[in-house]
Amino acid sequence: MRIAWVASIAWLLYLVAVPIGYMVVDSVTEDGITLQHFADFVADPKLRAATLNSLLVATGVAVLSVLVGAPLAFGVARTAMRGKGIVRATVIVSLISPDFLIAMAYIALAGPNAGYFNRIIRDGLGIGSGPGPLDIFSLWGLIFTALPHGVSYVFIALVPALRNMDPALDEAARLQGASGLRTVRDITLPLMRPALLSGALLAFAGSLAMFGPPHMLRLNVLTIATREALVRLDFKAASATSVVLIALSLVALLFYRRSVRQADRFRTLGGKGFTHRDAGLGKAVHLLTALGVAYALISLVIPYGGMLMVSLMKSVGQGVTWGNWTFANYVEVFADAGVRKAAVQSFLLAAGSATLVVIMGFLTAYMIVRTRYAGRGLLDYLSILPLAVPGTALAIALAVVYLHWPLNSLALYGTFGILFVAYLTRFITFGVRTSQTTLIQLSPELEEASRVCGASSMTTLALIVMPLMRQALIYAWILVFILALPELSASVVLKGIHTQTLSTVLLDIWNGNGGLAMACALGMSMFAAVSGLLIVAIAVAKTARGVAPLTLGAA
Amino acid sequence: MNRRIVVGALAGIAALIGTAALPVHAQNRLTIYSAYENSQMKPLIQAFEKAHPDIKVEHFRQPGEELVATLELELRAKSPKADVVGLNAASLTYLNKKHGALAAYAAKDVDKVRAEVRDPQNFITPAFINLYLIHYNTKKIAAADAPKTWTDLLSPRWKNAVSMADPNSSQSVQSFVWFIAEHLGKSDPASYGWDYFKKLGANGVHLESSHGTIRDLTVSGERPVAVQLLANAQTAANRGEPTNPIWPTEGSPGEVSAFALLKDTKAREAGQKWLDFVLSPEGQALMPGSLGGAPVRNDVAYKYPDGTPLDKVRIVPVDSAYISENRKQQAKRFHDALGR
Repeated sequence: MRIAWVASIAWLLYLVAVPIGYMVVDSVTEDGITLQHFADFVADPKLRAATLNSLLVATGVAVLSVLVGAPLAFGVARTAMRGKGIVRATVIVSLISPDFLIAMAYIALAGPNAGYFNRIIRDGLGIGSGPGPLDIFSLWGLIFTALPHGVSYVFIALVPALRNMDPALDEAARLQGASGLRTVRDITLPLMRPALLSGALLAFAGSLAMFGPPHMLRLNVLTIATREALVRLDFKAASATSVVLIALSLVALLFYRRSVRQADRFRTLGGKGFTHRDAGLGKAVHLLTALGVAYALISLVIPYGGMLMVSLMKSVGQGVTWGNWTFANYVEVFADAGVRKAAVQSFLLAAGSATLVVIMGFLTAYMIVRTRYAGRGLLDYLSILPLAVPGTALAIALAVVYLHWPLNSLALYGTFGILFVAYLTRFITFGVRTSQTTLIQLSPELEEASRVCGASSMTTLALIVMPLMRQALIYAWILVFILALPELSASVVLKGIHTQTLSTVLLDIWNGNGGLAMACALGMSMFAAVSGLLIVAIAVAKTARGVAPLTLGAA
Repeated sequence: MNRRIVVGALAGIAALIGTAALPVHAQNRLTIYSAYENSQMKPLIQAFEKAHPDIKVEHFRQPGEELVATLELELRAKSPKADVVGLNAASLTYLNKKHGALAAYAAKDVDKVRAEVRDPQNFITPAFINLYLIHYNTKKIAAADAPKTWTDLLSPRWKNAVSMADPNSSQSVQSFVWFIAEHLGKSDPASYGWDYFKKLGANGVHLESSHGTIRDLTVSGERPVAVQLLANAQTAANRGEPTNPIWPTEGSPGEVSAFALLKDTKAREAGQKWLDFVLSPEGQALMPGSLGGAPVRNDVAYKYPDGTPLDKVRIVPVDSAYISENRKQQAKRFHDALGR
């Protein structure tokens, strides 16, 4: 048991503490301790603009996600709105499908000059030629493409809270003569504040960490700026920018933890049983239905429909005309040696990191929940820290660590190995958290019985605890696999020229190495793969006892 | 038991990392890193492999400026993995000056190459000439209305309609920046120079990371006018897209796109065969249909994608030495002028 203990500490220190620590130290040193790199950061107008843009976008996404996500969650949990299944499906698909696919689709649909939306609007209003009125290449465009993800975070934070709220609380208000809407405003909303806040903060942190969409929309935000610094080989600027990025998301994460803890004060679930009742919004329910349908259209049907259409075009310049349809883009994508190699590497990376994350996550969770070793708090903290580290910043940290003494002697940079390390770090939180929540629900008596019968602690783990948690572990494996398969923001920094992943190849095709139609064909294929896996994950989650699907937070 | 699980897991990690890090160099494998698109390299590679059935070519592409960074990082990590690199002459000169990265080799037909594009030390084997031109969408813009000069791009008629490459990720656009800011800027600072880019920025020019993406934006009509390279205008023409090139009256900066052998290559012989092939009559005749540029040999017939004969375009050879010295400052001044 002791060796497992040492292994989990060493593993988390190596994966999380070493790169982040090294980078923080790197950002404040230059022949002695200095704050010069941060002074340079503040003095650079482009970096200041990037910081402001990042904060504006993250705040915009958080606020709008609440405005859209809260009514949807309320509608699904507490009213008789229609299309609940469609909303739930959209939430889950948005959560797991890569964010850059939406951006790519909307560039085709809402580009200011030739986007289909703009052409329809201009024709409708009789305004001659472009540009506009919609411009996807703007901060608003970025907020818009990030919204499906943000709404999902708010939704998944809010639905369980709404379900656990005793309707007697609103009924008391209704009996006193309050209208349905007033009850929502004065009773339900205030009680939901912590859940709302945590959803909004996840949306905030998620938007801060985006790389693909701002790259495709050519916007100056922190994730882009830090990678540009690395491309210029300016390691110090890259480190300083990444540290700023991490600090901003760390603040969001700390608020998030506080809001989750505070939730106790807002306890709404008493010991008595209750049944859910319709909140009785009258005709207003139709508004919720309309909102749900619009959400599904904008986040799912229109972008992926548009992408499918472009992927089937012979010449994008000829547009929607007879005789312009072909499967050639798919054939070309699947026949391309680079794409095939990248697909194999992505599958290996996803499977390898999912396996290790689940095993080590289980061991770490077991140490935290069931043992009394010293330093459990540290383990807990280290395992959640990666949530606050945007993929790009983590990748910069790894690049800095593995290109400098002493770890450059491992020659890991530019190999498959460094991507593997990055994926393990990015997704370790999911492995630890899934095991932690399930372990808490397992009574220790079962393990005690095994020990009394003479089994060693490791035998008990392998023969009693792991089988009982089998479904939860399989579920965590699939979840990590789904998230790792299209990983972009760390891969784009760490890919070697021989070690491309599906997403970096897609970005490359988008960046002119093939073109829009081929990029859409690969994007649709990735979407299909991820959605197929999701159906399997949901099937597993249904049979798993005690695991609430997809409540783990930030992707 | 407990020990076995942990040791097993650790061995698993080691094995995974180990197999992944295995060198990919095989006996007759030639690894090329280049800024040229896969689809453009394909015809060239196929013809080469047909002529040399014992050699298998692996090609990896990145936008030029990012590829320079990748190479610099690999050189720094002391694990260069390419045998041959394909970039423009300025970037290759930069790599050689800063890292001594290249091996000299006089390819077989190098004496047939036009004198003005030849590298006297033979570190760089020129492959084709790439020119800047104005590229436009013929479905959106009538030929008579299309811009005719580089200064036409500053007209309000083309507000938010033009795209060009970003020198932070594209190497070639450095040639265009040099042409406007230094070359034309010297003789006519009122119309050109850094002010040109200030005005272009105010006119809403859209920056992209690579000329291929710009071609897609022109083709879709999203940005119907572009500061484009011949190679991509040729690819668009080969695909039958509704686009045409314009040869601005001020002339077209022409850069030499090239290949070079890396000093640390383990496939020296195969790499030399590649360079020979690039300069062979067969390889040169393939240029317009593959990499998209004009041949560097005088004895190979050529016409531009719109049918314009070679001598009708005013080519201004770029100062590769200046660009390789000043690439970082140029990129910075460009962004300062644009204010983004």
